[in-house]
Amino acid sequence: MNVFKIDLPAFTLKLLMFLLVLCCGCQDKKSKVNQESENEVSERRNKIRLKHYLVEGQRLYLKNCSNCHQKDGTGLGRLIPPLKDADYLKENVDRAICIVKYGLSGKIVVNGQDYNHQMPGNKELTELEIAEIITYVYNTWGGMPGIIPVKRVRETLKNCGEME
Amino acid sequence: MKISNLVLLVATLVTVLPSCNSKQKEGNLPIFGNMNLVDRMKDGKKVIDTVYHTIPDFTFTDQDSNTVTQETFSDKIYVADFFFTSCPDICPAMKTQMLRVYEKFKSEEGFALLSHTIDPKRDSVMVLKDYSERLGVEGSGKWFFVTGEKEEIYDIGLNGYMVTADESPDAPGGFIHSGAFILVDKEKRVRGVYDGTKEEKVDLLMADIPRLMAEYQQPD
Repeated sequence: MNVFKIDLPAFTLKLLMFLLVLCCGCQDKKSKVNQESENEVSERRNKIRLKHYLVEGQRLYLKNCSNCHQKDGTGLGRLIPPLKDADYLKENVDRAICIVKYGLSGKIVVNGQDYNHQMPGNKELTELEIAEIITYVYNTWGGMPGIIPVKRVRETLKNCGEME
Repeated sequence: MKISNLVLLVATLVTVLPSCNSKQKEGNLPIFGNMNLVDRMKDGKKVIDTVYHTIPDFTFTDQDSNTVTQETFSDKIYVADFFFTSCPDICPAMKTQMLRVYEKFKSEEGFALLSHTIDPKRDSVMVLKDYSERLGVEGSGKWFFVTGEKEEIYDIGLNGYMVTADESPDAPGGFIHSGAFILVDKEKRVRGVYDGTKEEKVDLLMADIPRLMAEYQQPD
């Protein structure tokens, strides 16, 4: 019984506040308030999505890429190019997406150094997995924060044949 | 118990439990492979000699076109492995690890590295030279990248170093091979086998190399 006596005013207050909020919602400010919270929600969702991309991307990178490019992205001597701070990556994200999927042969120049070691493709990787790997690499070493979404990977992969 | 049974028993124990070999000095590395006990007459008495598995003779060519034989490694302990330069999967991991070994022991006089290509058709002397230089191996006489007759390379892999090396259309890059690093002593005996793709196993190798070197400093 005592519990009711203490809680009743608090409950009433909460109810009133709720009604007030509800009423405010019916007024002009409604759209602006909702807009803001929608933005916040989508921002929060993006942050979570990015985090998920980075965690998965790192796992996939360690499984598929780090044997050659090393865990810290520094490459192996003049045999295997670095990913870390590599101008070759910063120049062209779409090219990097295609290379992950289809591999690369022939001479390339990375940070002024030539490399000529064939890289095998990773045909078994899905579009999402490539998006996660690319996002991880560019966020970690490419100075390009944010998600590189699966939609972009899908579009890019359609045009790989036309890449230089 | 017949002598032959006893010999069999000892041989089995030694093969199965190399680290329990009572003839070895305490703290010394095990000796790998089958061993044979050979009768010999000494001063009119029959004595039994222990003959260990050793690496057979070979003749290969290194990245500087020099001939590499057992003679090259006389009075040296060395680490051997098998790879090919166009290997897409485990070789870069192996070479990353071998490079650590090289960097740590490159100034040791009695130490060398021997990497055999299992794709001699593609991996010519020139290709091996380019590969070793790009990897960061300077000068010669420390880390030998060798090519030779395909049959000889596969044979020494299987029967000498006791590792797999063969062509296989199903394997990535067309070859199947072990990622092992094999530690060989001055008597051409195998003293350790390590997974060359794993950092922690190569740490073990790097700890065992000085131990093996120290064996040659012990008074008999």
